[in-house]
Amino acid sequence: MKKNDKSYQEALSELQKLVLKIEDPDSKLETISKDVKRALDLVKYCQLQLRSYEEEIEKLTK
Amino acid sequence: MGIVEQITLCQLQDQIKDSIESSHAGRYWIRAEISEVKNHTAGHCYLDLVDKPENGEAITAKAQAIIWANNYRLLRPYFETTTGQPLSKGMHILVNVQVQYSTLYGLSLIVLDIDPSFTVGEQEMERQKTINRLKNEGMFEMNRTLELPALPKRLAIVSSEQAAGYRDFFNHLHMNEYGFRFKTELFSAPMQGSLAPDGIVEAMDKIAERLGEFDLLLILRGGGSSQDLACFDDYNLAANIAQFPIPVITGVGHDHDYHIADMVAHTSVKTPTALADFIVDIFVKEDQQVIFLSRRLSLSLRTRLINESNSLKSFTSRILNSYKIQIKSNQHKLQLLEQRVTSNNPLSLLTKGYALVLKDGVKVRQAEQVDAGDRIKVILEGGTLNCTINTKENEKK
Repeated sequence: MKKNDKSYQEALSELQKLVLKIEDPDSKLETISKDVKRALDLVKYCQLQLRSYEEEIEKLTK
Repeated sequence: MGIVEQITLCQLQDQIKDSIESSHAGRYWIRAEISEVKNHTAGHCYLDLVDKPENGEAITAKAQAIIWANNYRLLRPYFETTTGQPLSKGMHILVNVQVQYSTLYGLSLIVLDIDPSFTVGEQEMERQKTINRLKNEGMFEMNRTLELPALPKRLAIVSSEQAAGYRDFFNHLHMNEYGFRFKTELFSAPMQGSLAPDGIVEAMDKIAERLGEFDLLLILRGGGSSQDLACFDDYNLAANIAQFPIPVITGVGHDHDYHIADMVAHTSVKTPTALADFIVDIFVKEDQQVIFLSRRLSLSLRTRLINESNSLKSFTSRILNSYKIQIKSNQHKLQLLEQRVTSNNPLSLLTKGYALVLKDGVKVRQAEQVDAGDRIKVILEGGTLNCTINTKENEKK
């Protein structure tokens, strides 16, 4: 598996975990805004991965 | 030296001709392998037919066969549509022949008819042999066990630049409606005929040298005639596809049959356009998952906030309620107290016409507490009377 793939899949699984965490009524409210910000960043990153060449992604994420 | 009977070469040949043609006057169905095909400009077809033992290399019989132009015009399309390929070297055929002997050219077999179903059967057997060989060598499933990368963006393509199928694929992939972007590189190879297997394998070798640069290998053809696809049943090509270190996807563009190259590939689709769809769909599926997650995220966030604020509201209203109840019960108590206070105040009796009598500042409750001549105070509403008792009458018991 190439590097790009791995980071895409890692991002996706982190995103899934964050959504589950936010859905959980027992999770702490104080951390939600931080979690949401991170989750939105991950969504953007995944969509970027789907639509650009990896060279561009490297430039953008540096 | 006596006189020996002499004949000319021509006479000998004539005798042979007579003898052969009379002893083999009929028609014969013969099985043979084609070792050479020559199409004459006049429309005749010259074949070299051979017999080869199953295991050995050396041929055990050879003869020239001719299909005259007038017959070849009829036999050729019939043969090609049934078998999917033209008469070619290495092919096994079943032909109906008549033996002819020419004093000039020697023995020839004149082909009168051909049975393409025999060739189809032979091809099928040959295919089955190749399939079994690949299975026995453990290669058949090899490429299929490779995992498709999550986002196959870098595509090595083996095709022919001129092929309509390649252009269809190219446009379909790069102009996808979702804006996904791919990096494609073409490795040209002949895509049909006897040169195809080696050409394709050569292109695959070039790709293998730069393996880290690609996610998938696509082999595509398409459009054009469906003939001459036997190259996709070639053992060597199939073995190369099966053992290729990254997933191979074929889109060879034929509906009616399925080749060994397709069977050993990771995935095979029917047309180059379908191949482009296959790749774009991988991205669409991922895209939908990301969209789904981001929707679920905003929904769960909203639900969570609504729930939190609802529970906050219910706390507030509970606090307010209990506060109200407290106040009410306090007010009630206060009223009771007030009532008790007012009902026991002696001054309130004065308003009803009663009077309060004091002697030396002490409340007089009974007549015996005072005597005639005592000075008393009589308190009425609105004022106090200072009085002296003139007489006293005790209540008669």
